[in-house]
Amino acid sequence: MSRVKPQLFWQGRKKLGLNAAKLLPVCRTLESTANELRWIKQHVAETPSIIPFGARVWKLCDKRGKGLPLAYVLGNQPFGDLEIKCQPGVLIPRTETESYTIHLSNILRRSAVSSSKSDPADQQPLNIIDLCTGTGCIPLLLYSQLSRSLPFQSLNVVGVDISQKAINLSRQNLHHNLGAHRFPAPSDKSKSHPLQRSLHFLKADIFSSSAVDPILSTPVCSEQCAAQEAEEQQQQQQPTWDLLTSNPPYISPSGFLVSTSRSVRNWEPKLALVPPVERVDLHQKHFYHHYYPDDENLLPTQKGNVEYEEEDVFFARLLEIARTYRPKRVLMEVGDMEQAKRVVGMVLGDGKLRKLYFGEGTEEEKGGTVQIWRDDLVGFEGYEEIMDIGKEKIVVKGHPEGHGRSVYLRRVGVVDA
Amino acid sequence: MMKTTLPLRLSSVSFGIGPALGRILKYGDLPFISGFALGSGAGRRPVIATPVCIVAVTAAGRPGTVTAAAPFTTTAASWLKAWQMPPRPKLPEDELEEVYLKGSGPGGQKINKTNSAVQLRHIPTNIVIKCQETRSRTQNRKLAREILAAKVDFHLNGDKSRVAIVGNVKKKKADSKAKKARRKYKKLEEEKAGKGGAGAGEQLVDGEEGREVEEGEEGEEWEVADAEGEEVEGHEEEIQEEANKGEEAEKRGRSADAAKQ
Repeated sequence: MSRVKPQLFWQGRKKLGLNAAKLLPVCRTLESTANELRWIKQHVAETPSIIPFGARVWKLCDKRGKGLPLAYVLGNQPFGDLEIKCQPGVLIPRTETESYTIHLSNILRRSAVSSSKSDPADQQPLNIIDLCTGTGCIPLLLYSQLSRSLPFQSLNVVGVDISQKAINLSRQNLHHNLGAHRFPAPSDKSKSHPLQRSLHFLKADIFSSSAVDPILSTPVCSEQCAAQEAEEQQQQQQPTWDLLTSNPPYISPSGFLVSTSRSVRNWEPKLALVPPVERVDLHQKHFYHHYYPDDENLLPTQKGNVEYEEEDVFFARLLEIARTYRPKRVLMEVGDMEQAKRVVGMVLGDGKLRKLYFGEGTEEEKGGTVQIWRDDLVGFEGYEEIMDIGKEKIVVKGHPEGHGRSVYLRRVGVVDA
Repeated sequence: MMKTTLPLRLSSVSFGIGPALGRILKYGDLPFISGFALGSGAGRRPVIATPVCIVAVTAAGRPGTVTAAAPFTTTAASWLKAWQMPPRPKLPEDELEEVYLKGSGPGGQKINKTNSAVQLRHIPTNIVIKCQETRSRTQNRKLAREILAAKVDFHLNGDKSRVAIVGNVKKKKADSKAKKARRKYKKLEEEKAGKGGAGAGEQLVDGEEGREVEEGEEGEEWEVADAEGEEVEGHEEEIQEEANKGEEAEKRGRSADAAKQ
């Protein structure tokens, strides 16, 4: 990390005051220092306390200057139009996550609107599950957006995380945003109201089947829905998830040491960033036994066969869940374009997943798609390119200067993404 | 966007703001309904709407956002002024282009950047603005659209634009305040020279209170519009309130002077 030019310190002190000197080593530029100082001052102004203003600002700038992320310093992070409380020990919601979550809610809204039946009572509830939810930002934002834009749609949103701290924080966030009237209250299941909205956070380790199977196999679905769904060919008796999202740990141990920024490395929980790569048993089981019984399914690269990296272990597990529970849409956040390609390779390399989500390759087979999304989709939805992965052509959405950020799967038979 | 057509909650009428109540009864006995805009987003803001205002708003051609869009008006004179002000400019989406700001570094979980700037360009006039007001990209996008609309409006309309007119209103208010202050201190000097300042102390207190209330509201300038499609009320309401207070303060100043003389 290079030194900050001394003249910046003088300029900072002149324009912004003494606190700028504390923030500059972390913020690096005057512009960003000015922004952060402004936000700190706004935060102190908005929260009443007996401690005088200047002293509080000084203390917060001290903390920030040591590298503590701003969201931990201020205790919250804006996410869509919600305010997500943050505390050390739980990963801070990223703006990239916000971007694809909003895009997803637009997709769900459009498809629900276009396929809506005349009688609201016949509406099948939208079942959404988010794994490795952390602060609960994705379920909360989806719930907030959909309950507003689809006022007659029943919603059932679930967030799952392994850490008790994260679950507690998610529930706190639910109550915090509810109290600020940022979304309507979840309704009580016992009442026989036609409109059901539920939002739950549950603690479970997604690698342990015994913990997750009960959660995954019971999305809320009334008898009416089951009767209707029995008509469709693909459905079995179990109700389905409309959307499975996840922002799992995807950084390799070496990547963690080298390519993470200092404030992430020193202050954010490693549990949320680096998967348990020492658990070689998981690694072997999920990669080699389930997906690649015959090597010919592996997608070839220049080196020979695709190298599945140790940090992809969560994606292997997520795809295994997708194979079993067959959600209509799946979205997984990835670290970069290389990882996105590997995940797409895992989908295409598995016969069952390929049939579920990619189709036979015939044009317009009503719906199935495997896409890669880049950073910052909102506002840049028009950009699209085709990329070759293995022998297949994959749609990549988003501005070409953005990094690969997520992999989106839509089941064959589900239309109108 | 769904408009919740729920009636304004007539929970408690006119209990919200003490001094405001006093002013209203003094200046025309207009009915005063206070309620809270229900629904997400702007839940904290009290909405003060009189039936007169609602008529004015819909007459001025605003798309039926009756509930929270009604400006804070309390006197007949400022209601008229609100009605004559040009509507808040809005640009159609196809004329706008978001410029992609390439982030440095890998992004995602590896970085927790605080900066979420949005750069927006108006294609016909090629005006570009960059907004990094808040930490939320969503809110920055909304703000960027408003700021760009105001800039384009000013560029195209010059003196007739909303910004210019608002600026004039503010200037008038500031001038009248300065004038009142000059008058007050002149009086103080005279009285000090003459009797001793018991009477003037009262006036000073009133004036200061008005200023404090105003400053508190300016701190909330960047409140976000709620999701039901209503525009950010912060700027406009402040302007209205400043205009009102300016007028009322002026009137009080004048009446006090009249009483003195």
